[in-house]
Amino acid sequence: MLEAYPLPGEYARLVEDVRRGRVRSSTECVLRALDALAQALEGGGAQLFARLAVEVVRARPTSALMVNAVRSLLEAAVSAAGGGLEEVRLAVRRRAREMRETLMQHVERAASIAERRLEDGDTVLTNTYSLFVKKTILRAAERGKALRVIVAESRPGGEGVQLAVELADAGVPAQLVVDSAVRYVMREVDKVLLASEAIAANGANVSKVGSSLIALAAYEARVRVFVVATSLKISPETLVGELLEIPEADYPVDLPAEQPLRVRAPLFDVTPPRMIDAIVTEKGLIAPEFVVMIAKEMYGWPPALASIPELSESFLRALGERG
Amino acid sequence: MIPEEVLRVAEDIREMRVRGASRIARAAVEALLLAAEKYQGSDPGDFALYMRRVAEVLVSTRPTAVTLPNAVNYVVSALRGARGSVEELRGLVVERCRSFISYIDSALDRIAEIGSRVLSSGDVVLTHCNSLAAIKVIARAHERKGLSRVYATETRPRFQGLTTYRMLSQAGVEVVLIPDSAVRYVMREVDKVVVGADAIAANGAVVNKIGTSLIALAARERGVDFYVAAETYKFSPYTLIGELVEIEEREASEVVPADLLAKHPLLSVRNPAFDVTAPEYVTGIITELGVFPPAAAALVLREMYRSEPGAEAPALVRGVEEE
Repeated sequence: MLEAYPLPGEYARLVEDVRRGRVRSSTECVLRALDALAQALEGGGAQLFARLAVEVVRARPTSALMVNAVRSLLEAAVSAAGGGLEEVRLAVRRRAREMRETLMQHVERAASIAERRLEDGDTVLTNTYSLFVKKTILRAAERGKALRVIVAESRPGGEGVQLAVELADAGVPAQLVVDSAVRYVMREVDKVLLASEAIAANGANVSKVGSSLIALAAYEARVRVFVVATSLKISPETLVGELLEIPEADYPVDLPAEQPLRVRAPLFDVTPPRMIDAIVTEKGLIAPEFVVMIAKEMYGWPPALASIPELSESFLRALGERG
Repeated sequence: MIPEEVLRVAEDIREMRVRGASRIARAAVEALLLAAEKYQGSDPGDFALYMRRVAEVLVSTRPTAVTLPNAVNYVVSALRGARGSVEELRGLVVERCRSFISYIDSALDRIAEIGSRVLSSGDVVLTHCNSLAAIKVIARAHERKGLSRVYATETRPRFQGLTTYRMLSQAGVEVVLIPDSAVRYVMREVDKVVVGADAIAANGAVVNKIGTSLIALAARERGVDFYVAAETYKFSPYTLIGELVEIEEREASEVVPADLLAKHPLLSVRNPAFDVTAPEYVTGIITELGVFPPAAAALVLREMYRSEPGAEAPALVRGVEEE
């Protein structure tokens, strides 16, 4: 019954942007989704809200943060359903606001922990556009550490260009390289910072495609690799053996070609835990092998989690039973 | 006075309108042929000087190329110690030019034949950039036994992968274009990697398009065979006397629009054209003389430059050979 009608234009556009990775960072992507979900309740009502919750998660199935944030919103909606739609609106708006604040706090906390690992004079290599990585570098710069940052342009999408521009404008010398030059520059690199789309229970990190190549080259050169993220990017589903799905772009990548070409463009890849020295979250700096413990603390053992479609349905049911 | 047409070829090489190690060598030799044919004087000493000047102009267009001085040296060395009329000297040069050009063609054909034997029916092959030798190997193997598919990297910053895509598609191969950042992601499906080379050093290290060494690293991680297809004139005699192969760094505007750097003073671009793949990552070098382990590169050089083991290193200098 959730599939009954198409999403209104603005929501359909958001889902499409999320699906195609047009929003540059995964955290920003989630913040936009939270806003849209709160707005859907105000304007369209319960059906639209429940439908959009399912659609945004389906659009970015790899993003553990998206799944966790949407789940949290749905849980708030389910518990408020007994009090009617107005109650639900209030509860969801409150939860969305809390979620945004929590995320912003996590960015600050994780960055201030990760920042301690950077030393004056370091050359840092990173890729893509991440609020967590950006904040870490800026925080270190604020504390007077002179850094040089090398940024891989991160095709397809090229989000690295935006990160390099913003770092340069904030006073940090930033040097762009093509993605295939990361091994060439590695001998000058002191530390690698990676963003995260999702962290699996075994400590593997899912991130922008090319991240695992950077980690591999760093591993070869014995350069330290740090992932900076929120613990909300840990995927509890992977604790029970679910595989993280890597979406592949089914659309033409920005290429200077006239003909349509056969293209394969995965959006993410997986960096194995042995190539990661530490994962830095708001909870502290941990070895990738310790992720499973954090996941256990957060979600119980084994994690009892309803799927997003299940939660959507039970929300509508709870609301319906009342009325 | 060097003829206009010859200077134009030199300009085309300098401005990268002619690209790729073998195409550059061929264009230079064709220019030498043209220059010899256009000479109008009657003084043999003057002819020799004139040819030497043409040679110097051609070699100076790409100071880091290896095939270019190798090819030019091969042609003008015909004049070393030669006596006779202008007609006779011209004959020597023309003969060398023709034999070099037919050598290039037959060498590529031999490489295709030999290289096709290292690929098997149903193989998935990955290639990088746009190498004539690698493409011939892949196309011949496909014609003989049928390959499943070829992954071609787009090859930033200049997208030479699009040319590879077109050439292999015309040969009936199923080609799939991938971003350079996705090579580790697709490596699990790849049976063999075949790339070309811009130069091969005496220790078997392969100088090729930026990103090659990263692909070799990703191939090694999964135990995928990594082959280099290259004519023997790509082996650099200069490295035998200890010279380093210099890596050219090109303009930023190949990577980002020039005005972006102007707007952001702390933003820069590093654009190395090549990288070096260590010999231990290379399964075999496919040449017109056979498939060699990279460690045998010095043997190839000894054969080519006829120096005996234990004898002094060949008396070559960078640029045009001294008389």
